[in-house]
Amino acid sequence: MLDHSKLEKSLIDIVGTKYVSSELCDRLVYSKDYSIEGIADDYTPDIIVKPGTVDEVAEVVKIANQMNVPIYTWGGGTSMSGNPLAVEHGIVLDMKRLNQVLDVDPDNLTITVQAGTIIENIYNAALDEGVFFAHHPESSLSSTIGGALSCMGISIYGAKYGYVYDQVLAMEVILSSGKKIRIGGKSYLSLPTHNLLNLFLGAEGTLGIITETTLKVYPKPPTRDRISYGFPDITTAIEACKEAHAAGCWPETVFLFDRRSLVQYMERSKTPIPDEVSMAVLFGASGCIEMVETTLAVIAKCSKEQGGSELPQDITQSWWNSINIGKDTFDQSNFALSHTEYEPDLVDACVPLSRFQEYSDFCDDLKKEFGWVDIDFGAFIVGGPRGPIPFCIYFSVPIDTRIKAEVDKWFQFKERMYRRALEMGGSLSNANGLGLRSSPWVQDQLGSAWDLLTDLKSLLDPKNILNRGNRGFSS
Amino acid sequence: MERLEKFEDWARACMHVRCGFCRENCPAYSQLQLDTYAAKGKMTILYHLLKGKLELDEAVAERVFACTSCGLCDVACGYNQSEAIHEMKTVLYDQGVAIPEGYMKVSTKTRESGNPYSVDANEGARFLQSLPESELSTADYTLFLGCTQIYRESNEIGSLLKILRAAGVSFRIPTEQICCGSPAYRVGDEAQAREQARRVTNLFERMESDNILVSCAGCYRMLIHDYEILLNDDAKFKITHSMEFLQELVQDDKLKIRPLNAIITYHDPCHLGRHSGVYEAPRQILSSILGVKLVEMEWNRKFAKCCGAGGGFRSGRGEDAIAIAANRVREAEATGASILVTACPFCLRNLRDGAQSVNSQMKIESVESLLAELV
Ligand SMILES: Cc1cc2nc3c(=O)[nH]c(=O)nc-3n(C[C@H](O)[C@H](O)[C@H](O)COP(=O)(O)OP(=O)(O)OC[C@H]3O[C@@H](n4cnc5c(N)ncnc54)[C@H](O)[C@@H]3O)c2cc1C
Ligand code: SF4
Ligand code: SF4
Repeated sequence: MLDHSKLEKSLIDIVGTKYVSSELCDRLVYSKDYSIEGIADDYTPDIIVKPGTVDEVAEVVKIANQMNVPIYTWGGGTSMSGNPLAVEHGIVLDMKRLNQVLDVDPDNLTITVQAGTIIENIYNAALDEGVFFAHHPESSLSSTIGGALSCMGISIYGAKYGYVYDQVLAMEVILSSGKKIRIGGKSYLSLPTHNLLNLFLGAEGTLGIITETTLKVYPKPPTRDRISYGFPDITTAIEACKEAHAAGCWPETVFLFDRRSLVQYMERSKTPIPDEVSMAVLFGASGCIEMVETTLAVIAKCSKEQGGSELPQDITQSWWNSINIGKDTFDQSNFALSHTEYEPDLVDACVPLSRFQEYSDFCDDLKKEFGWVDIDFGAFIVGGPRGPIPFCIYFSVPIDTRIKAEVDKWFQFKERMYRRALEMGGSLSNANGLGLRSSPWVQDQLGSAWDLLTDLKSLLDPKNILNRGNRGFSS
Repeated sequence: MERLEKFEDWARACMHVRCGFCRENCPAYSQLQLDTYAAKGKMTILYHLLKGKLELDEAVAERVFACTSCGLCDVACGYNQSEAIHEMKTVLYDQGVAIPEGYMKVSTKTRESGNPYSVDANEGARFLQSLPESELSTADYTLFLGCTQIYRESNEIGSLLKILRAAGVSFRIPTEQICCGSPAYRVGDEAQAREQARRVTNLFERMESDNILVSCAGCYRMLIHDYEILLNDDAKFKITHSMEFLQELVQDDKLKIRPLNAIITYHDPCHLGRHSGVYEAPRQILSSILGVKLVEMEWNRKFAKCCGAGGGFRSGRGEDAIAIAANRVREAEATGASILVTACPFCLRNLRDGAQSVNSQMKIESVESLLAELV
């Protein structure tokens, strides 16, 4: 039996009273992320702790180890798949006091930050020194870099600059024993052996706790601009992307939204969308003015050749503002507003590029089978990091979570969608991490490689204290 | 609890998306550090209160009351979550839950003495009666002065009067001092706020005034928005804030203003800016001063960060309020300005205390005090 008061006292001794709470009203705040999983079950932690230094993190981990209490690392809590949820209750470790930008080095094009730093602050700290940090998720204002490194992370600039993984040069990690290790360095290729960074990137807090990282920054492109095109379907939209790639375009933003997603993203601006648009693509380019103009002109030509028609400028602008939420677009997010009536959750899967349309059609048919004919669904696709080639498709499925039967149906629907993706030679996508939502099928997909992963988990976390029971690992 | 049900949709939306956009700029979170203190946390509490998983207890009250009512979360969210938070305060108050002492004092003091500072109301009346404009029986405007101005920042009144007199404005001043009710309202004491609203309305009716001039941002918000809700009645008077009024005086060349060589930045009071939409008038006044260079803080206008004083926070959590003000002063320093100007006596006080707490050299003024020195 867990001795709660002993645990609380030990944690207070490490970080002080202000940063520890076992009040129910606090614990409930840390018990749910975006996913419907968080509503369907109880993931309320026993205690919240918010350390202020790396050493304090290590001390907390040691206590958890000694007392055999699971510890769930929590950044912004913005993840979408139930990733930081306290499956076995225990401790939630809030990382947001480790929020210092330690070094911006424009000469070497690096920035070093603590893992609890909010991404927007990294972005702005880089800009202050004239360099550009390229990982910019829609949740930039509220999510941490530690969270992004732990569940992949897609950037609005990802088509040119890649995933957040591509930005990492070095990391400091606290292992489950409390031991601190450093991997990588300031120079590129600081990884003389295996790329050990990959052990912790995308590990969703299950193998170690990231406390610091050195990231790549880039020379700041002098200009950027965007256009958007509407297409009759996914296939033509993807063909246009491929042609643009063949033509040598290297845009930084490639976002594909179906009609429903676009409507959702226009919630605040109320910008009307032309009737004929079924799939729309937002292309953004950066560089010198000639490069930007040429890129967008060539993309426009490729899009038209595929039957695309240019969308009005105000759609492009509203679309961009609503995914580029930052200091100047603080009031532009549509997230909360578009989530009252129904609560969408995601199916986060990857299928081979040529089968995106087929998978989307399957989703439509399945929707009918489930009787969800009057509910609009959203699909969106993201390009990067191999230029304007889309790589990942999501389906947003709006459920009325007040109705238990609907929630149950969602779980059945989700299973059918994931299984179909695997049958099509696809994959569970790591784009939002697996968390609780996508992990039930991970063993099926990995086969015997799953054993290697669980062996690694046992090696790195013998007492299974790190995010116990999450991401497919045992309770 | 019924009163909270109308916010169920907003709470559910928040429980679902969990975007956290309201968190980093929330003054309460910046000081108190658990996610609970941001609107996200408070909406989580609301959701679970409605579900019956949480009860209205002391811990809940401590979290909910830790809110300056600044409304910055509303801008991020899209829903006016600060309204729901205000409603939670009211329900906690009405249910008799032990609300934190400092906040409660605002209510008891207003109930006992008629003002949140517990000063003998006769003192306020004597002060008002000492002003010559209180003897007038008619004038174009009635100038309503708030408790913070009268009892804590009377120099500010001197500045305002100097400007109005210099411009030859026809105004008179009530002989009675009545609190507008804002402090009590913001700590959930709706009944007392309603009582104050009645008294102030009666006062104006007795004086047969329908053109009211207000220079406290808190009073202004109260008179222009909240009275209609509290009294369930349409607006009866024309309410003008001194910033808009002074801006017109400046525009119409009614004031001779000496030049001032200074870099100035302006802090938008939440009650005046975000809640009432007055952003440009104070800026126009400042820019019209010859030699002044007006620069903006990183977070300004609709996005302006709070000084930390509102919603009873200064009474309830004095040190935290001052620390929040100090952060705002630091933001002002980063602009290169030497004077930080605001348009609310409450902000002024808190920002001054904030500046002092970090030994900042920043001079903190109100638009009125700055202008008065130059006319
Ligand atoms: C409005 C909104 C928009 C979004 N837009 C995007 C987008 O454009 N692109 C995108 O990629 N994602 C997006 N997301 C999803 C989410 O923001 C990202 O997954 C984000 O990276 C999560 O970061 P976080 O700090 O909130 O992490 P959390 O949600 O707190 O945690 C995520 C996972 O990381 C682990 N973790 C957190 N910190 C650490 C650490 N220091 N060490 C080890 N493990 C850690 C947690 O245990 C958990 O498993 C969006 C979410 C929302 C709500
Ligand atoms: S109104 Fe201001 S203090 Fe209150 S929760 Fe919102 S942002 Fe925080
Ligand atoms: S911005 Fe709104 S929806 Fe998002 S976390 Fe805050 S209160 Fe909830």
